Amino acid sequence: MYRALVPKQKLAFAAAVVLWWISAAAWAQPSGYAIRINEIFPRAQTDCPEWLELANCSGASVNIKNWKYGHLDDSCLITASDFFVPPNGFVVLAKDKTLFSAKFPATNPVIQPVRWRALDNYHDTLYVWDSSGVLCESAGWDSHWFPSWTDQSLARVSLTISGLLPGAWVVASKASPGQPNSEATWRGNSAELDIGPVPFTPNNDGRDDFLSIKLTIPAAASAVVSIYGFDGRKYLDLPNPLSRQFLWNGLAAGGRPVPAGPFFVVAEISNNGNTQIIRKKGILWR
Amino acid sequence: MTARRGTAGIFIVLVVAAVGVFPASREPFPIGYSMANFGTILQQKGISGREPFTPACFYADTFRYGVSVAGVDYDDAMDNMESSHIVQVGLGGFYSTKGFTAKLSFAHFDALREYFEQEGRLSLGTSRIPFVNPSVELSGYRAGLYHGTDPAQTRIDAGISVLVPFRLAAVSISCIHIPFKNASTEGYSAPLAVRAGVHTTANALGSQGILCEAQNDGQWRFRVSLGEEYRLANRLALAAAFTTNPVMISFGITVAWRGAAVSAGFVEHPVLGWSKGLAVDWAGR
Repeated sequence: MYRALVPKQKLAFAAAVVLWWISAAAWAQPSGYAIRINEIFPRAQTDCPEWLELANCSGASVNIKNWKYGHLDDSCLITASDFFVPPNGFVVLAKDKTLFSAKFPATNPVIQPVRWRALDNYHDTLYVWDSSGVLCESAGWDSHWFPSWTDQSLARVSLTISGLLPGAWVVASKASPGQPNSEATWRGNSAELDIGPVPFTPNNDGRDDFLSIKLTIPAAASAVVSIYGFDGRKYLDLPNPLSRQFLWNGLAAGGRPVPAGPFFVVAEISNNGNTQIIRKKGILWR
Repeated sequence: MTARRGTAGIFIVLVVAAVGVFPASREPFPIGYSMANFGTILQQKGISGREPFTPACFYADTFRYGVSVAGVDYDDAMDNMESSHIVQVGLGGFYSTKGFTAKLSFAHFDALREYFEQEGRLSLGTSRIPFVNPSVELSGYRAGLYHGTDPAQTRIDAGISVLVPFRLAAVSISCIHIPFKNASTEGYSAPLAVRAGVHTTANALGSQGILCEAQNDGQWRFRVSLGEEYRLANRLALAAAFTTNPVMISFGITVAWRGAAVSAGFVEHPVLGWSKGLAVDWAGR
């Protein structure tokens, strides 16, 4: 659902940051601290309605009966019935449960609130209140944070910072409603690149046939990982977006086996306009 | 007379040491004096002609023999195995008499103390044929892991080179890595390469050269290198060069005195960083 960006929304967004700090005391309550907005899909398509995912980050079940979500001046009841979100579990709120289940048949549980508060495609702020009316979660997004964002969902990659900050979200490589966000598993406070074994031997003997390339990058960063030969020519760029671990079989782009000898794995990490390059060297033997 | 015998003895030791060993391949740039100019600066009566790492047909000076030692530390230290480098050391010599020249070189390549390549190269050439100086090369390669149980891979390549000298410039044509004996496993062959270049003789602006190379390792790749060397007082030379695919720049300095020369070269790859090289050449009559 497209909505015009008005100054009032911007003001509310700034106020939300302040509210997030003010509401920190409320987070001391178990239920308030536990439920977080974990994934958002505001850019609805013909075969998939808007949805958002709530995660229970605590070790106890949380009853979200009479909880509300929405905007400061437009909140919607999530459910009027008892509904327990299990420890480390998820619940998806969808605008159209039937349409959503057709798109994600394996996702469960799914709640369709009686009234849906439309999500803005470009810039919005969402809040979650518990049954007592205490604000316990807030999340925001702005399309300027994600230059490559088209129609993907936004995945929460850091629960240690406010959901109102750009570093808490990335464009998901694949929507995962009702599941942990895959991007969150390879996001850290700093960038790291690990490769091994050295040497690796892609000769199909069942031992060290693949080079493991593991990447960890900050939440809001993006990365391009490439492999170079000793002669300085690029063999290939790894598929993007990356998963946490990539296994290389010693083939260059086009399927040509690369020659034996040294090679280099280079990660170029972009974060808030800054670029960091990590280079690792390895040996290939056939 | 004694000095001549001693020098000849050194050359014989080099020959004996090189017999039965084999070479390094896929170098991003040549080692030795030519590193700073990507092989674009070529003079039959200069250091590049005397280098044992270049074909014998490139030489036509009055020195009868000479030796060279060169080393390269490739690329930056990077972010793993910081204390382990990728290095290559080469040594060799030449002997020339009555218009015939023989060059013999040996190079040892070491990557992270895990992997090695060795290359031995023999080049025989002549400057007695009018207008055209030809040479043939035979190279043996050996590659392996220091700690592995797999046997080392070996192969033998051949090469032919021709230099056509003119008054203002020379034209060079080489075909290298012509397979003579392949390794038993795929991945150890150096790509067949054809090189053609134009190299000026020394002029008021120094020396210039352009080298075009086509390589075939399953698909053709083309590379162009441009180089310039400027001499100061005939003792000091400053060189700079540029090459494509991959794009690299280089610069270097050479200090020469009679038949001796010391060269330092630096090559920068935009992603992999700086390679550092040093070479010492000496020639006698």
